[in-house]
Amino acid sequence: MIPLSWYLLVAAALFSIGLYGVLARRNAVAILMGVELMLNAVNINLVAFWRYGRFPEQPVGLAWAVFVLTVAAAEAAVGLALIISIYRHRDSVVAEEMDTLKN
Amino acid sequence: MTEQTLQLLTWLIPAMPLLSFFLIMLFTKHNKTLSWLLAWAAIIASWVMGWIVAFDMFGRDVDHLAEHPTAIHSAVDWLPFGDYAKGLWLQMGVAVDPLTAVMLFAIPFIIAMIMIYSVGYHNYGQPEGQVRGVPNHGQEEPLLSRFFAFMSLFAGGMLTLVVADNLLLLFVGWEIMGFCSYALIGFWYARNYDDPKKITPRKAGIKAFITTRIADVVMLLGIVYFYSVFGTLNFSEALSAHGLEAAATAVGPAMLGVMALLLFTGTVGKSAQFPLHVWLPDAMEGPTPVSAVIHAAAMVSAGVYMIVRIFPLIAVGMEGNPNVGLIIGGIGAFTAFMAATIAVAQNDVKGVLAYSTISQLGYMVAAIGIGAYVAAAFHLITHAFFKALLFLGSGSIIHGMEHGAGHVHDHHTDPQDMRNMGGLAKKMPKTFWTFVIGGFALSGFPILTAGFWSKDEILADAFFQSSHGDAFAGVVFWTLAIAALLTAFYTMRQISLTFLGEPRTPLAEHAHESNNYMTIPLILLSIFAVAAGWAGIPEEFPILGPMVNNNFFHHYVGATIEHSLSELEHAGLLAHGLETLPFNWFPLATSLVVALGGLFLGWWVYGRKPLKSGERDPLIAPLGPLHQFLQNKWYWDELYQAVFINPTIYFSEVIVYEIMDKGLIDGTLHLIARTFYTIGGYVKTFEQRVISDGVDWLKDQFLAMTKEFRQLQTGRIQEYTLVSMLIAVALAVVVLAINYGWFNQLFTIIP
Amino acid sequence: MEFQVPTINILLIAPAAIVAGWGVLLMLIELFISDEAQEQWRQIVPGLALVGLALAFIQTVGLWGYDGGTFILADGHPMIVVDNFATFLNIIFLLTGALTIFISVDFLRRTGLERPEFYMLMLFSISGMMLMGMANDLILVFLALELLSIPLYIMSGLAWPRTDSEESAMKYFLLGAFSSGFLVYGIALTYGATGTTQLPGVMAGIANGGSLALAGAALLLVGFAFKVAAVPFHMWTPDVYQGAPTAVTAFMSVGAKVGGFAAMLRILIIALPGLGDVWAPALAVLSALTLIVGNVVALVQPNIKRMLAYSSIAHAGYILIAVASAPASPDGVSAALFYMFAYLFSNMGAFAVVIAIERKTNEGVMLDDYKGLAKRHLGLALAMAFFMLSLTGVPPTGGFSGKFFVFKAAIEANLIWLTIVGVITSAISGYYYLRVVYTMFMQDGDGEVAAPEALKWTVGFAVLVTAVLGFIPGPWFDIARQAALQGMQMVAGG
Repeated sequence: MIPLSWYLLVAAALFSIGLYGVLARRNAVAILMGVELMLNAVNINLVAFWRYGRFPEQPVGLAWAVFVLTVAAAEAAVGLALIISIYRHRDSVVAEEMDTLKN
Repeated sequence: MTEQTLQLLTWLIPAMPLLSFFLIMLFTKHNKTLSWLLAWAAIIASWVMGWIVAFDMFGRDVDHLAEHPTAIHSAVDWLPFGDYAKGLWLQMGVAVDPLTAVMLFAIPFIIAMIMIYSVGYHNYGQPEGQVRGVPNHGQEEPLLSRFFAFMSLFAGGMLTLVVADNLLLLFVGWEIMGFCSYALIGFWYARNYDDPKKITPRKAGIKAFITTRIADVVMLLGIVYFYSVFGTLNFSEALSAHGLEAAATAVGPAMLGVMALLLFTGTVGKSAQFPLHVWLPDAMEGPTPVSAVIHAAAMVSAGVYMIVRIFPLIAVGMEGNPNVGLIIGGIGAFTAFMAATIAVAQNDVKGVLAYSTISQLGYMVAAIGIGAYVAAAFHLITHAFFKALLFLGSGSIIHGMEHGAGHVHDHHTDPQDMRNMGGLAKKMPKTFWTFVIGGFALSGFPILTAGFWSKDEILADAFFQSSHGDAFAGVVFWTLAIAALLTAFYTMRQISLTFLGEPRTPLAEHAHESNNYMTIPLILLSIFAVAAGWAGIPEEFPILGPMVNNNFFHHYVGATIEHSLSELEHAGLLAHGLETLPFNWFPLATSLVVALGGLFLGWWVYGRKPLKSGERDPLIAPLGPLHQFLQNKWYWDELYQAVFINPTIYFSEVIVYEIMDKGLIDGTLHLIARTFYTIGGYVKTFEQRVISDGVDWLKDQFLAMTKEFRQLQTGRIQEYTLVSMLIAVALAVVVLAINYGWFNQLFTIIP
Repeated sequence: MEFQVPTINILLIAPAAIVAGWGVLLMLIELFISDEAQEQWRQIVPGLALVGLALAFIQTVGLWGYDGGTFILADGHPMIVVDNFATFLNIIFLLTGALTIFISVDFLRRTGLERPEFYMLMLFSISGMMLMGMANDLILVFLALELLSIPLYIMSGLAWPRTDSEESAMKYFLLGAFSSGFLVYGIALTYGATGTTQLPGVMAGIANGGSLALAGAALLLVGFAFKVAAVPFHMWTPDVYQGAPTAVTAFMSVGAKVGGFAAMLRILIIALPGLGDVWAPALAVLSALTLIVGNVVALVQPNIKRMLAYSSIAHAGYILIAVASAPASPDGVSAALFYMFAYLFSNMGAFAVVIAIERKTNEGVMLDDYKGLAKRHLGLALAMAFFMLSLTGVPPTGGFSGKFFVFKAAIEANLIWLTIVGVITSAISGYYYLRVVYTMFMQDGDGEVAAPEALKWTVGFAVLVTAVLGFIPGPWFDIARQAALQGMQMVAGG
């Protein structure tokens, strides 16, 4: 059986990739995707912890993964709506250009 | 009446006028009628509630009250000091014990009377005066709403002080009154006099404020010391036998005496005792109702009330340090005597009363100084009644005179000068009779008046102490007796000059009786000026004693302190408790002689052949320069000017400003500045020569960073996240490093 | 594998359920509103939302003193705790909502933002805040946080197609979602370390959790620090506060912040007391940074909304002092609760005045627009001065009492250096707060002031409460203490 730490490493890597996406991508949609990646990395963690955990008879981790997915979907809905709204009269979804509010 | 209701009422008594203050200030400022109606409603509500509480207290069993004096008590946790888990809170609350009860009987009633009177005094209903900040004779006061707002605030402060269960809340009320006193003395802020020497209301307000503030600072020290020793500010906790015993063991009774003196300094300022008495006569620049309520009935009594309140502390302090008694009694007796002599030579109708107030307050303080707690409290109450009456009467006189002035269009004759009066008895009969009642009460006219009983009790106490070998009490006794003689004399002089004979000026000729707003309070107050004394007739007094037969006041108020002092005696903190005085003819005879003698002398000199127009005061010739000395108030003001004020100004202008500020400090600063300039010069040359692009860049970065964190706020989301993450990681490293001792390991590795 | 059926007592979650349900109800009703009736519908929605809040408020107050939970699982631990801690916070949230409605009705109408969804979204957000205080399970904390945040993202963008509003919403959303990622990662690691998400269970297991637990706790802390806008995770705050419609700013400056602290206190005190010696110093450092940056940067802000944003960051710093001293001082949690209660009224009052001055969306929000306010509307100017004094912490105001309790707790916890930082930064804050007072009273200017009755009464109410909290803090602190004690009792009870 694959040890738990492998899963954790994959999750951490995925999380870091997501984090990199958030930090480095210019497109707001891509940033959003980075965030989703981070959340899904957590899901891997959750399921792995449940499977390898002390109380596998309690499906806490599984249930939770479902919750996180749901929340991620809701966030994506709101986020995409915002991005579309901005795109409509800016013709751009570059996050860096949204800097009228500063200092 | 349940306990909860009574507690609620006790909270509401000070709350009503405070509420009225805010309502007037915030909402009804522009409507004079509504403003004074609000003020009336509030103070009358306080009066009614005060009497409900007071009579409930009067009806309680005296013996039970003696053991548990604080019958009504309600407090909220205010600030947690110390270990809250042990319930150590600084509490704010209200409490009613017998002393508070009698105060609640007198004070709200008197203030209510004065509020009613004020409406008439400010000519409500007449055409509105056009000039703000000066008296508009015969016209409605344009700032009437402000007047009633401050009067309400004042009433709230006074009633807070009366019901306070701790020293801090008492001090809050005390300071509220101090502020109101300042605001109301200077109520006619724009008034100026032709005579540049005459103090204006504005200056008088400042003088009163500053003088009392000096005393309050010392008092605040006393409060701090009180808290540090007792660990509480609550009266009933701190001043119980248990509390005092613990405190006496902690710091010694002598230090408790010092604490008492610190607190007493507050009284010296507030109750205008020598040497801080100078503000009170000038305070007469305020409108007369203000003089009546603040500078006669309420605020100045607050000082005496406070030392009566902390009497167990003073008693223990006096035991531990005899000088405490000497100082308090000495100041009181001296003030009583000095002010009485000054009052003899005053011509201003309010001036006489001002010095008389100082003198009577001196009586009370002297009584405390010789341990006559009950007598002081009793005189406090009776004096409040008849002095309010006298002040309101004098206001009515001035009002009548001003009416005369308006009638003959003479605005140069001083309507307050008694030499310009005469014959007012026929013009203003109600004022006359009530003034006579008040004056006789002040003089201590035997049997009938309140002043007799309370003054007699102080004298009797002093005599009793002196007959037991206390030489100091003997001195106090004779000083007070002479002062009483003078009191009766100047009172009769005032009555004669004002009311008897024929009018000496056209003003007096055309004076007429004041309106009902003013006369009705006079009549109501005069009833109490007589009747309040009957609550304190000694049982042993021939005929009357057995008839009235209870000496209610002494038993009721005295029982508490008797109990508390006897406990202190058991604790070994006092040599002897409070003793009931055996009846003695000698002080009684003295009271009779001085009162009647003084009145007779006054009548003989002034009343027998009333002054004619233009005649000089008959005392000037026989007294000669002494009269001058008295008329100028013993030259205290001039002395203070020369000894304190001028040197202070000199010190601040010449020494501090010229020498220290300009010379020393400026010099030092210039030196430092020059040093830095020099260094800066070197740095500049250094920079100009050595600076490379890199150094320049570093400097700019540093400046940018220190000057404005704002630069970090680029407005770009991703930079935000990046910065956040970097700092977070750095923080995590630091925290972990501290936690796991990485730094220490680092140092052990490196050595 | 079997699914447990939890024991449910619907009355106990009623406060949050009523608010959320009411929001759903209003949304459903709106579906059936005809186009002609839209105008009337807009008129009555604020009133209806208030009714919902009032119903929840009655239920909440009725639960004061109750100590228990619901959604009890087989192992005996409830998902939702109803104790005085939760009830106290619920009262804060409901008051925040009610005050926001009172100050924003006229504002939204005036600025053409009268959109019924504002009120519904606010109801959802409030229910999320309430669940933050009641949550006894990390899953619920996460869900409540999202329920709190997502409506706020939309509300920030309420003034679309205005650029600043959209930008503010976008920034808030991206950073909010980003921080959620950290939070949920932290929760996952905690779950992995302790095998459970129940707070009491976490407490029991955290000691043996090792570095996994430590990393989890750190990530949790980062997530919450984003939510309460603690430095260095504060950078979204000024932009979002400035760009969002002022009514929304007012709402989130109190609601979202207090919500974040609610869950933070619960988790740190109940679940992670075992790591207290790790997170307390970390929070102390965060708190010091927050105080310094918040107060110093506020000094140079000419925009009053931005200034208040930095001020709210600074206030988070003061609350963090109390949280950091909670492990070592019995008063820490109660001081934090009291501070938030006092902050609610001072801050809401200040924003009410900002709203009264604001002419159109984000116009009239510069400091210069406050010139001569004393001459134009003395009452509002005096009230604003009072709120500024309270936010500075001058007695006798609620702000002073709050700082007093916070510093007292810090001293008890031996965090003397942090207290000194707090006092010095308070003094600094006087500069920018009093500058507003100076501008209002000493300088001349003109401009209209929109102060409808509802706003004036709200301001008056806020002044009154702030004054009462300043004059007689004792009884209120006592209430906060009862709340805190019950909140912490879970530690003892398991």
